[in-house]
Amino acid sequence: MNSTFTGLNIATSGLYTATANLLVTSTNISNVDTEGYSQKVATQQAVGPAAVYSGSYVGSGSEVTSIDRVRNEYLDKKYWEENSTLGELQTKSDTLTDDVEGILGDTDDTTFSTALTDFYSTLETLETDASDDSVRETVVTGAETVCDYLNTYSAKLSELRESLNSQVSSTVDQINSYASQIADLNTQIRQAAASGASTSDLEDRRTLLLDELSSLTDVTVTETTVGTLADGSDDAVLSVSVNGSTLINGGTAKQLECKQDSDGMYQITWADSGDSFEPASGELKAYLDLRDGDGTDPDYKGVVYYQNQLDEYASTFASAFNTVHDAGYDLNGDLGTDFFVASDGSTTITAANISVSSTIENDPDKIAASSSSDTSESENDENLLNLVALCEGDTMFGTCSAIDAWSAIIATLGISAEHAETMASKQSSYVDTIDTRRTSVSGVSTNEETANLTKYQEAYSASAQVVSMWNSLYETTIGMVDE
Amino acid sequence: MRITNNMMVANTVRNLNSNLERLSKAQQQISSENKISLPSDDPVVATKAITYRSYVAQTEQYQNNVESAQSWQDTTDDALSDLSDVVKSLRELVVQASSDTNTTSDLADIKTQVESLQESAVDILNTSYAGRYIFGGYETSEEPYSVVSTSVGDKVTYKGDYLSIGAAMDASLSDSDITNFCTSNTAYDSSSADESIKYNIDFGTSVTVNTEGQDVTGSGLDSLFDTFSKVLLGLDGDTSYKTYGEISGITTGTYAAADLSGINDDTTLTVTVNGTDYTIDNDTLQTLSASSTITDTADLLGNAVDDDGNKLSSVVAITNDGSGITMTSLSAENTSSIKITVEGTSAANVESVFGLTSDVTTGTSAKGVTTTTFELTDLLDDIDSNLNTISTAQTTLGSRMDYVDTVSERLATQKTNYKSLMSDNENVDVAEAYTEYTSAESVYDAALSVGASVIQKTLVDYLA
Repeated sequence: MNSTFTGLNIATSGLYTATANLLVTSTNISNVDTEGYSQKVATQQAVGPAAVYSGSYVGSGSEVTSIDRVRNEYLDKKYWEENSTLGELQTKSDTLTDDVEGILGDTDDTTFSTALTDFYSTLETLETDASDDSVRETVVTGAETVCDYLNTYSAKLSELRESLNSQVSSTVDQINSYASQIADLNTQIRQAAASGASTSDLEDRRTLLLDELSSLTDVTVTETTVGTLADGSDDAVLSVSVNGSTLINGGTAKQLECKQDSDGMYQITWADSGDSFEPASGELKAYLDLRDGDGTDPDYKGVVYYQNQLDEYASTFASAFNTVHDAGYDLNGDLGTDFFVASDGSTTITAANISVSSTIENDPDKIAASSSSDTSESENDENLLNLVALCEGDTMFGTCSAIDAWSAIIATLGISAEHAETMASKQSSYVDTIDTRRTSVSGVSTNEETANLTKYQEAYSASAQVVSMWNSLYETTIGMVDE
Repeated sequence: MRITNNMMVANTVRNLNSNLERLSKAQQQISSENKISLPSDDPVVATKAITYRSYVAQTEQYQNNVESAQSWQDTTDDALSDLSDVVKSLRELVVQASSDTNTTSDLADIKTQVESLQESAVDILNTSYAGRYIFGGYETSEEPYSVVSTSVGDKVTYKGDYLSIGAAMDASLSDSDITNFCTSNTAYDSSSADESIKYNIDFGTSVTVNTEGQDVTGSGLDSLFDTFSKVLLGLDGDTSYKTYGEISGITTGTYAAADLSGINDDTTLTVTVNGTDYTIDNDTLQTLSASSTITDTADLLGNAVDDDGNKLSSVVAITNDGSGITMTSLSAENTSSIKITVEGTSAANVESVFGLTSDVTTGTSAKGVTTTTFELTDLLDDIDSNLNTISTAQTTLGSRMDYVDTVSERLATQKTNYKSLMSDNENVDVAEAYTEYTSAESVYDAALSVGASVIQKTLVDYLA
């Protein structure tokens, strides 16, 4: 035998359930544009028996047992993995194409190779009039332009290195900030779970932060169960590790430190142990590779590699030119002195310090065009012809000319940049695919929710009708005894 | 797969973005006319562009050099023609002067004209182009030729040295004056290295642009100015002139030739005069012994013969003064060395007898004053040979000028080729680029309109 008002209870429970569902639907719809929001789904269950009839039960309605967040953990982990690769590739691609190519890029007339050919032209003109002062001046100016280009390139690459260095520092700060935020959320989630409150929104925010962190450095996220909670669900602790070292464990986040070394470059260490921090991928790794990579196998060809290439280029060019120049005689009958020197007085010529010797700048007569010390031989251009043959021939850089050697540097840069661009774009579409699948699982579909609105509204109306029916039933019952 | 509206929007935006990228690239190619703006757009094109641009720049520079070369050469050619005319006029005057019907005043007249021709010749040879004296070799900042008056008459200097230091001088001058003058002043050394000014006119190709003065006038005793001197002397009525130079060929050093011992069956002795070997056969050589005298040795040497049977004594004079033998070549021309070679097991002994420490000997040539008689008509041969020298120089120059012209044409073609290679490599085909642009634009349009209609409709529109 059941209680008198069971029917009303059943109908009312239907109303509550429908209301709850409508609430969930409203929440979903209003959060359709919230970043990182995973759609909520209410789980509805039939409630236990209200009355027994010959061993068969009649249920006492329905109730909403839980409101769950729809999320695919596997897809999240995959996304974090691929996102850090994307962060690394995208950063490398952007820096190479925009910054390094912007500095060295050589595709039109305002570039180093033009300055070099112009310098050769001045030498050729000088050979037709070795005693002309104004032509000698143009040779000096042409050489100065060549040196200027190399100096500027070197300075700009150093600037780029500085800016990459500060990017390293600011990325480390960001990582630290995300890490502590995630740790805080870990604590809050655990507390909320322990007290039985909903953790969905907190978890959504945590996932969002992990998304951001994964782009900066590679993350491996593991959730370990450390016990059982009062309501029977697992007590889970989330930990995040970077390339094998733990960054976040539950509510504790380790911090990273940046220390400047003798070059002023930031070296990253764990604040507590002092060990060096080695990310396997992510933007931070990209900045480090770009900043320090010198191209020696298996290192990445970063800014240092290009700086070294430029320095070697300047040094080889200067020493080959000087060797031939020093063998000739100038207009005063003196043996030639070095044409290209280091402007800061050091013994090695680099792209940063290559310049035309000041003795020659001040007195172009000292350009050693002649092959004999006889000053009356003012038209003797034999040494100049040797210089021209050196510049335009194939031996200045071992087996190729200066223009070809420059071409080779640009080719390496172009190919690396093109490769990085292609890889980045491929990775980008891959990451997009994963993200789409994630959204497919946990995104809010307005169409779905609108359909649900209709569904739950109908359910509500139906339950309301039932309530009304039971009401009139009770009225009849009560009216039965009231006369 | 479950699709949400936000996914549709994100997708639409992503596709619109990639269409815009394509559109922007097409637009950039059209407005810049370049296929690439950064090396990474196409590294192969970028590196080839660097190479082609340098080729074009170099070819243009070579064209400039060709022009300079041609101007220099044209000036030289004109000067040589003028000089040739001067020498031809000289020839006519000499012909005129050698006729018997001339009076003294006629000859004096002609002499004045010859003097002024000589001045013209010097002026022509001092032609300058763009401030440089074209016949001076490397010394282009000063006039190469000038006439100076000296104790032995007017002489012409070339680059500061006397061009023909021993050339025809007045026969009335004393021998000692002449010798003093010639030994205390420097003569122009025609064996010094070529001073050719070379211009690069193409890849790996250079051309000599200048003609050196000594190749035009000659030097030494047969120069143009030597001829002028002789003509002027002749017009003065002189019938002889004096020259200073080699009067005989090389004289060897003196050999002590006593106590010849140690000559055995394999000893050979060869005297090489200017490349021709004169040998003594071994039997005759063995007749020399410890008791032989210098005179015997001298006689023996004189009988050395060459392959044709000519005796050594016909080309050298062998003298002995009792303590040593001296060999002097009999011709003043074409003798560059006299050499004695001894071979065999006892070579060392024999060499020590001859006082030889090495088997190469070049002696010094004797110089002195020679008097030569002449008539004006003899000088016509000299003038003709001078004309020949000038015309040879002109021919060499002419062939060089032709070469430069050929290269100039080739450069023009080369430049066009390289420019078109460069353009093919770097520049876009505007028609192609514009087609790409219009198609990118229409795709973008389509994406916009489809995207717009798709993201607008939701279920809500139909439920209300």
